[in-house]
Amino acid sequence: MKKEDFFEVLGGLDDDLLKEENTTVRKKTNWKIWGALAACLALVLSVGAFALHGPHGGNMVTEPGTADAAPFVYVNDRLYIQSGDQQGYPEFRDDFVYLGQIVSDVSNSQYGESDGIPKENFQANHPIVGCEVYQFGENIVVKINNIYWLYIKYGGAEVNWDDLLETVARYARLDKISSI
Amino acid sequence: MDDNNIIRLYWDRNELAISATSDKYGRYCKSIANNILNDEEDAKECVNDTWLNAWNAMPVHWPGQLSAFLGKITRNLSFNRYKRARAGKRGGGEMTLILDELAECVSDADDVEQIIDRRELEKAVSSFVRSLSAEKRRLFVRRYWYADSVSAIAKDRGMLPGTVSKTLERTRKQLKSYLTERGFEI
Repeated sequence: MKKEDFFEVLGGLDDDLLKEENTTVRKKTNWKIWGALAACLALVLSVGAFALHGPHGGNMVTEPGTADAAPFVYVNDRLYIQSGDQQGYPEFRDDFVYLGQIVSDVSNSQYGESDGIPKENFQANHPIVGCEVYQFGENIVVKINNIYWLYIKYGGAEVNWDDLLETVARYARLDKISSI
Repeated sequence: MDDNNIIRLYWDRNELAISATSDKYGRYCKSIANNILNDEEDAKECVNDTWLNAWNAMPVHWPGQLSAFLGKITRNLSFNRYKRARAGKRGGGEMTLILDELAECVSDADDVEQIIDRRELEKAVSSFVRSLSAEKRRLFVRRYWYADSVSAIAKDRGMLPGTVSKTLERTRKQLKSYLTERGFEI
């Protein structure tokens, strides 16, 4: 059999095997985020310049979350991975439960001592120290540059904002119906 | 929108089915097409053709799992396009690497006289994949169904690329033995 034919045979894998795993959905360029990042970068540069040339000196201050969202965060003894839909949600929701802030980050170098995966609570493998962490149902939400990023349990079923919000809305409607 | 509602739109011949499908599964299908074709324009065309194929297949067919149904159409269309584009050419690209890896499992000869029940072979491959550990299964499906690059898989799974390649290599050997033991001389 030719290798091309075998690739086609593999295309016939049972549906449930495909549901379990998903491809990396290529990231949509979110210009709002890049705009926010550019603004933060400008802020950091101007503060840095003041610290260098100002008459009284001083420490350089950096805003938390001056980069894109981290791939992993470790919260309450559980590892969470960024949702595959890779889109931030712009609004705060009443059902976000505040847990705390990211206290440390882990180098994501896979060739150094660290394997890039956080192992202590409230760690992330990205410089997002200081970002607020919320519980949202079974998932975690991290606020980075005023955008809320969804993190799901590592190894769990894929969830994205649209599905999650649709489910929440559905339950809300059901609550309303049952209360009537 | 819920999958069953989308399928219902197809069955009702409501053209909103296309936009609903595109909103929900557009990026998913585009990623599959891009993995195989590595070309934005070609990938886009394959995704549009996917909606057309889905429109023609429903009604009659009510997909048990809409994402897999659409993904399979995209994969087939993209790979057909890949083969047409690659005809007469050699080398290059992620797909070439994937096919070369798969060549380890088959004779890679034009054995027109050999009659293999394709459906039985597909079932055997599915059984094999099901028998793998969860981690190996994920790597295998990502590489040989979604045609993902080793580096992308490694990044997503928090593994070293070399570890992913080694695991896949062992899995391919296991697959070959599994099929041979069951009488599939491919």
